[in-house]
Amino acid sequence: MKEKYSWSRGLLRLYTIKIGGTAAVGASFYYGFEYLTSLLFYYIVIKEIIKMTEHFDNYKAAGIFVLWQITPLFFSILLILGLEAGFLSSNAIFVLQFWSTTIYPWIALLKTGWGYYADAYYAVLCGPWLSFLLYLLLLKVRKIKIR
Amino acid sequence: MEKEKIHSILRLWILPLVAVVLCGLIFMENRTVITDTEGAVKFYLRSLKQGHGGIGDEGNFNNSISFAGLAVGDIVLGGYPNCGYGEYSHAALYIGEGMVLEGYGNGIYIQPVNRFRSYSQVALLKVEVAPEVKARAVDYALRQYKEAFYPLAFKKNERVWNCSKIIWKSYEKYGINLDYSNDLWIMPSIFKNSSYVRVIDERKI
Repeated sequence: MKEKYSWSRGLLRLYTIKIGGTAAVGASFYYGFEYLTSLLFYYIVIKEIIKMTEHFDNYKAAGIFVLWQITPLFFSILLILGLEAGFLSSNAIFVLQFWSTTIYPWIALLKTGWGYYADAYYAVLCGPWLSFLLYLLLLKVRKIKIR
Repeated sequence: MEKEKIHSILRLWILPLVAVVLCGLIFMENRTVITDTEGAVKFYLRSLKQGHGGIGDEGNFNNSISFAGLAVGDIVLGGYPNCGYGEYSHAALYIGEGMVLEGYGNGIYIQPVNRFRSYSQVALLKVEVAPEVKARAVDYALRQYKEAFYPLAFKKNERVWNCSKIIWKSYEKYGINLDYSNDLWIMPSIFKNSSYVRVIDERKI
């Protein structure tokens, strides 16, 4: 029997995986195996997304992803456009960095920069948009495969 | 139970489980500092309760402090009112010629020390060790230029940095431990109370 899968359930699952992944990768930095937990996180997320494509059309699945990524997308827009929103803007980069914890082991491998900023900064800033593009690509590939 | 259902449960709970186990291990290993009322964890939770969660009430306070007394390897602290993690929210390492090396949201980078005038409170700390040790510490810090910043960087590794960790590590490499707390993280205000450090000037607006 196939599992019932509502969009809210899908979103809740993604958030649970994200929170667990953030804490797991963050804590792994202490012991030095953050690459391993990061890989595990992305393996699980990709599996979860593939599962979602069996239940939703591309538009609905993309909508779920946007709702999942709403926090980093919002803070990334604040920073890219240089919008002033008091406490939110002054702490925007830190919120984005916390959100990016799951990919930080790889971001930390960037050791150069451009202008006054490290490449890691650009990666954190563009991360939510890049992951959205990759997500759409994954949906597209997956749908074609199903057909 | 069906195979698909087991996979679904595993996908959902494996990472939270890993997180709980790792956090538990870290807690057991560092129980004393984590439960210490003056430790970073309890300090931050206390601030959060009072509604102070971030770097403080940022602004341009036009602090009139003079940076003339700084030498290579000294430390500059800056703070805004209501910072969530101590009296000072930021630390930088003086590298000479009016410049400091900092770890901030945009990575490890170099800025003019004058930018600290925007803080409502600024402290200049003289690190009282041999000049060659200070030069080596600065050299180490400069080698990390443009590396990644992460706000909650554990003191333990050399892969991610924050403003205090880069300074602490640069000195620790050469046998000078500027952190008397032995906490998991290091907060900027810690430097002010280090036995290796003397406050040469402090100005609050």
